[in-house]
Amino acid sequence: MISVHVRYFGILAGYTGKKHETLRLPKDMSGHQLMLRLASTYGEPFRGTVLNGEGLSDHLRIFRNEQSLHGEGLRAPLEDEDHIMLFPAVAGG
Amino acid sequence: MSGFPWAGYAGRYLRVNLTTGEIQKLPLPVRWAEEFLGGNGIGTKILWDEVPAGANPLGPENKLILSAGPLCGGPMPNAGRLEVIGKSPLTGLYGDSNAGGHFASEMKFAGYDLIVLEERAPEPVYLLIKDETVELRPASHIWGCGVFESERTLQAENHDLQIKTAVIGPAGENLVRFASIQVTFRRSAARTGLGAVMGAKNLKAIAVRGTGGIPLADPERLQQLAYRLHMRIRKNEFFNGCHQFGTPGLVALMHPMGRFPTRNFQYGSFEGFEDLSGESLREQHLVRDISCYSCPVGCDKIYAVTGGEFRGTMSSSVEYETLNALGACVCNRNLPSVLKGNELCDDLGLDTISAGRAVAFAMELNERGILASEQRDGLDLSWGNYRTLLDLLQRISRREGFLGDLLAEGASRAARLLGRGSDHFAMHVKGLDIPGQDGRAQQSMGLAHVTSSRGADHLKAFPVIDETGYPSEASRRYGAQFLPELVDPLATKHKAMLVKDGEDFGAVVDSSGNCKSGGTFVMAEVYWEEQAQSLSATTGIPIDGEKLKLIGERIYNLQRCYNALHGITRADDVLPWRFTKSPSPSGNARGSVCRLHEMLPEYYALRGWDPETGLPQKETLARLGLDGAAERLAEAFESGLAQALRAQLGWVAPSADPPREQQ
Repeated sequence: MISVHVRYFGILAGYTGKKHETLRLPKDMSGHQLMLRLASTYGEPFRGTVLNGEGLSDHLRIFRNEQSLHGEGLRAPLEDEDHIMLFPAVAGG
Repeated sequence: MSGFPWAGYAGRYLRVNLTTGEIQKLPLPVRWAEEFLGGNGIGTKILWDEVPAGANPLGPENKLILSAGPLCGGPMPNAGRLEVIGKSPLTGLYGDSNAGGHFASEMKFAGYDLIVLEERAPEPVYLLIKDETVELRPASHIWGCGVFESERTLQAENHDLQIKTAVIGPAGENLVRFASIQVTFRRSAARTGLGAVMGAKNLKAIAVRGTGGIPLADPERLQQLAYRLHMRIRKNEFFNGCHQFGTPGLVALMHPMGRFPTRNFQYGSFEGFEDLSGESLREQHLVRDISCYSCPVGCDKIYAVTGGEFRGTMSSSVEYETLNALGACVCNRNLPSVLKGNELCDDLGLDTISAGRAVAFAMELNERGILASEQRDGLDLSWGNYRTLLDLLQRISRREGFLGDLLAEGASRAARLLGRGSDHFAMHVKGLDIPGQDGRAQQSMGLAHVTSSRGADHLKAFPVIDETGYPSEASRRYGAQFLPELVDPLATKHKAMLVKDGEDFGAVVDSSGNCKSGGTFVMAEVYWEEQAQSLSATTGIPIDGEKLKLIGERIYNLQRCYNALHGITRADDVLPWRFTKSPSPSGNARGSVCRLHEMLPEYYALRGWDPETGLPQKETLARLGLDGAAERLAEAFESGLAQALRAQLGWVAPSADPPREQQ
């Protein structure tokens, strides 16, 4: 098992009722699988915000240890003490 | 009836000679509306035609134009933006600023599309507009007062709490080069220092009340369209976040992106980012949500501080930029002090971005031993000292002491006055301080800073597509053929196209009178075609997306031409060394510099600008119907006038190379 720290921002924190949490996860879990698990845990409206069907929502931004996590990177296994940041759609300036 | 052939316009404008007191109500020239729409476009046209390149921005020959667009006051979403245009005291070049609130729509209801302010009043005055009654009134009793007290006084003495005002504070009166104009309710036309132009004209305020209406070309079609677009905005993926958190909702995301300038751009991430985030603001300080005219988003908030050192602070329009400028960029993680700083800037009439950058500049000079002890005025300029920050805002607004007076010139001019290598730490392009958008973390933003017609700026091009990187949004706006590079913030491919399109669309939005942060750029529910439909249904002018693109290009090229009259060329399209030669140490941008050289040639080609000089080519200007512009540019350069004016702009160019100890 590994420990992964997850932080929720914007409306996602409202949907989960928490800003951050530390999860114990199977050693080979990927970023994509983590999102499916979180969607299952928190249900709607969190699920509808982070998923698009079985895939991840195009409007979700994920950072792993402050590096953007997307494309093939989402299939790579997470590592112990990874820090994940989740952002819903946000833009502007 | 004004006799103006198109609806959506009041069909009249005011021309006020502040020296003689003459006030003219003039018919709006039809060509202005058809070729430049309104707002920003018409203001640019007037500046080009009437303010010579040699004019002193703080002299009587400069003009200040407050201009609404044809959508202002109508039912379209976000249709309440005011444009202010003039020659900038900070840059010496084309200047503009844009504010939300309710002033622009009120001006239309009073029956005027714009106000042109000329010359200089012999004594402090304010301009009162109540429908057909337009008069200059004495303002000595509010000269020296803060913005809030001035607003209250104007409402009280005119017995009208609904009066809308555009007011300067002490900073504008004292000719601080980044003074703002504050617009009801607590919105700011802040960039490029046009508040100092008002101050130089002895004009404390404009107060307006209108009770009329605006003719609409096709009310039924417009109502259906407005309803559809309002609903689409409300259902958009971005709506909830924009509504709940406003632009401060970006703070947290910018941290891992490495795009949150910290310690005067030494870093792109701030360890105290969560203390400054939109989430913290809402959780700890929200009083209520508020909105500008006809806005379904309501990104603005009123915040209060109810305890501690800054108890009693009441602040609104606290934007992402302010949280960066008065927060991370000076290493200040004390959120109540940022709210206090924002309140002070609104009351004193200061641009929070340039004010924060000036303080960050001073703090870095202190860190590096460039400021002599007697030049610090007894202040502790350590990073993060928020009491010094707040003290300096006050001193700058009054030009008090050595440092207050120096920083009131803005960092880029202060560097010239101070010398001793301080130019390495003035973070600006063409004299305008770089906003909280690190071009190393988002390549398009680096390009946008140098091609912006008002100096370093995120809002001209507003390239939100690769800021956040949503492929479906990019496909919807530009087509899938530009993926994946278009949404990759660290890629340079296609970014010239993105920036040019944004600048042209932005010119149209700023000329129409709607908002860039609402349905246009961020949500793109109102994009080229919807904007054309809105304008067509409002005005009756036959217009489509292609014609609008031409108008946007025309406006943007004319702004470039105005700057070129002052000798601005490709040589000025440069970024400070920190962006191009110092790899970002932060977040997703770690190791990245802004690769401007990969984007700029393509940008010039797309624009039809000369690749060597960066000047619009004769054929380009002819295609855009800018008759005579090419000849005027040629004459300015052949006579040597342009080069001479360039040498007198007053700011030192951003240093392309790092200081010797960092080479």
